[in-house]
Amino acid sequence: MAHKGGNFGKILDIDLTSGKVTTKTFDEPLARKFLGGTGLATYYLYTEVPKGTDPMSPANLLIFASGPLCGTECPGNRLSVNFKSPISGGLGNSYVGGGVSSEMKFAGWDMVIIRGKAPKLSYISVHNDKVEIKDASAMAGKDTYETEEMIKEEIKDPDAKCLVIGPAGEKLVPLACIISERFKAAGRLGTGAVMGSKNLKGFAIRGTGFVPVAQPKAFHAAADAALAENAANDRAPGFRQFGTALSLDQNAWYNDTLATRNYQTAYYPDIVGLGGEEATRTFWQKHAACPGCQIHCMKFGVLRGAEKFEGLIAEGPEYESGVMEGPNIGMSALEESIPLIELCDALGIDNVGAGNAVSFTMELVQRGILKPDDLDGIDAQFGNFEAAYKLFEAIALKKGKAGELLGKGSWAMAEEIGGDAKKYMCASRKQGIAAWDPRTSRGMMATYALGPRGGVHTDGGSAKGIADRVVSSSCCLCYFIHGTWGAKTNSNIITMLNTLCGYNITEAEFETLGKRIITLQRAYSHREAGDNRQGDMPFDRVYEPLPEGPKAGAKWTPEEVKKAQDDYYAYFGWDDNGVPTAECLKKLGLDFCLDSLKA
Amino acid sequence: MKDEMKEEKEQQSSGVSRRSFLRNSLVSMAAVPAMAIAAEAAPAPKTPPAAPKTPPAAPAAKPAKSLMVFRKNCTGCHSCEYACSLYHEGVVYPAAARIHVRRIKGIVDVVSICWHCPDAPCVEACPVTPKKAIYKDKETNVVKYLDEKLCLGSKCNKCVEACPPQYLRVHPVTSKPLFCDLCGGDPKCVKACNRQSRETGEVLRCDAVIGGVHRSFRDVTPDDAVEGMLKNLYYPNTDGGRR
Repeated sequence: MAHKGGNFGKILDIDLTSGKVTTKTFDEPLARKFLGGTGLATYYLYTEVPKGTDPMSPANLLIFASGPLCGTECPGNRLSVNFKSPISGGLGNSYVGGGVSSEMKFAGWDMVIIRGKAPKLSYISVHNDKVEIKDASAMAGKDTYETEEMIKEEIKDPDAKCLVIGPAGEKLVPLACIISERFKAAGRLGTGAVMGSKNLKGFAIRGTGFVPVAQPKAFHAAADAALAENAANDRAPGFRQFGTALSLDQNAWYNDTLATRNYQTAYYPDIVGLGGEEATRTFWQKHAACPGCQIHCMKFGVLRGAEKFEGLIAEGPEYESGVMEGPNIGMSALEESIPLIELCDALGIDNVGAGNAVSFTMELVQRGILKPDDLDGIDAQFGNFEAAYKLFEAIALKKGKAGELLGKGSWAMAEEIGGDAKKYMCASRKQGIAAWDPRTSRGMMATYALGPRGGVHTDGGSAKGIADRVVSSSCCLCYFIHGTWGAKTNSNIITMLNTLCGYNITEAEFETLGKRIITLQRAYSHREAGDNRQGDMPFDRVYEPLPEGPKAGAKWTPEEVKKAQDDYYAYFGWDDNGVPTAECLKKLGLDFCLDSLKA
Repeated sequence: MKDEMKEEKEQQSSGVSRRSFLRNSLVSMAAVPAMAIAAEAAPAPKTPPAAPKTPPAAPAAKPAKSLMVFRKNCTGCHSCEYACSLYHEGVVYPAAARIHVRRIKGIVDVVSICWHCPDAPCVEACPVTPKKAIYKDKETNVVKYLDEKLCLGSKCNKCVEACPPQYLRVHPVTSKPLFCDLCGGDPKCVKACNRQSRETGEVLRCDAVIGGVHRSFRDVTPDDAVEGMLKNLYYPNTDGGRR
């Protein structure tokens, strides 16, 4: 059945080993079942990557998926990147904003699947339906900014949108990420390492088409209403003025959830020198938005009056980068956190995962478990900027003992060091957690420990929240837009989807969609990494009470954790061990996942 | 040398060289947008000596409108492109929009608009004879097709080359240039932009102009704009690269 709108039903399938480019199609019933974006990409990941595939082998897939609502006037587009993760060994899934997802739709593709491994370092250039695999040996070792500029120059298209890796990705550092438009990252779970393992330095796409709409009048009315709501919401001015850095000051003074010194506390008065207000005053020069979005949450700035980093241009601080490269490693001024954030973007490492690894190292040094000798003589104390800079650089360039050790991420570090180290590790499902302290930010516990990916901060704060989020990310919407839609988020998405694609999705079907996609993701990560109740256990630190601040004493008890897990499994209809049952899989139309239940 | 030769060639082909154009426009300093005067407190152009008291002709009383952009405030959200293509093409179709935004070096957003200049070099450059394919509509201040079939499309595109701010682009399918028509006097791009420029400051506006846009606004190419914005926003890193 042909698609009425939204999706084209076309997938670009590029085999880098042979250089063969083919077009795959999918029909409407399948699109209706998984929508697109993350949902559909997980379906292909499940069915096309055999069980037990090595994440760094050519058999792994790298799927860039755009969603049905991208490339339309619906605000908040982003691209979903899907693969088998080298960090968790299970589901790899990360998102990147910017124009690349809408550009993919304008080029007439819903999704790009990259398989195999190029014989030499290459990049892919897509212009509508013209696809070329080009030599990238001139870009070897170049940072992400330079690579992007070189690609745009070589294909002579300044409007092309790129996804590139830096030196870290080339060196297959598990913490490497994919960078788009200089500062935007698909950061988590080792995206850059997988792209690097395919010998793929960059991916450029440009389209000059448009997305067909099933019911133009109704869709434009719905999207316009959503945009107007977005503009009129009283949270929008704050989001626009400060972006996510709004939370830096708020979380320090009111919510007490600012990760500080490797999550030891959440009280950090020095935030006055790192937060959104300070950045507005001394650093930010320009607001920037992704295509079609009214919340210009990105801020570009330049360092002035900083000795060594005079004239450094960077994006940030955002909440995650601002904390992971700020309070969590004891930095106290923008002149210290900004160069670290910029370094991560330029060399292509995940600034959350790497920040977590560095803060973990610093605590291990504080506790005397690690000695400077283990870290090539770097004196990794909290607040030591020089040491932090060297550590981030070592991770990205895989330099010395420190680079080897930290580049794997906190979980693998704790495994390798052994002993008491695990007590201080803050990681869920093998991935270092983000910048929200889960003791005070109760919902974050669900997204860190129970969400489909683990360790990430954007998967939703409850069972229903997680299910709703995955539907919106299957449409490839940005979560930041939900903040201004509030309770109307689901109905807005339903109305826009129905009018755009010609579907008739109801509230009940929306709920089923969420359950289906989360269960599919769970089946995948259970099949690959054996995720179950034991894997969903949080790290030790959440059971220690928070020592200071307005919410001192907050902590989780094992009973509370068990109850959260029980509720979560019950919502999706999984068994007591957190594994989807055969009955549940059949009910959700996931019969092809039944093999995941076999040991 | 090359430039001079090029200029000479231009002069032969179009009858107006850039230099002579500059000279002319320096003389006609009154050609400044009304809002630019308000913003920069420049002396108002002297009113011509009082004309004999005859009632002015009704349509001429209303000065024609033109677009104006403050590039520095642009967030690069492409809402203007989206709104433009929605109005003209019925779908979101940025490649066929009559306004363009491009992010350069990942840090500056350059808006390209039609300045609706009074001398219209695009019309001047149109080689179609005996009647040019495009003309400047005096009443609405926009360039229109006399007959779209007359346009030679990708075989010619002389107007695209002639546009001083390098604004003109062609339709991705028909290859014919896309002229901004100000949406019939109520530009949709301005509306879309104003919905969100509260925190950044105004980016786009549509105003009545006295005598048309001044060349100091009009003759800025995207490259010039990038250079200016890098200096303005990111000093001392005027190159915009990594440090």
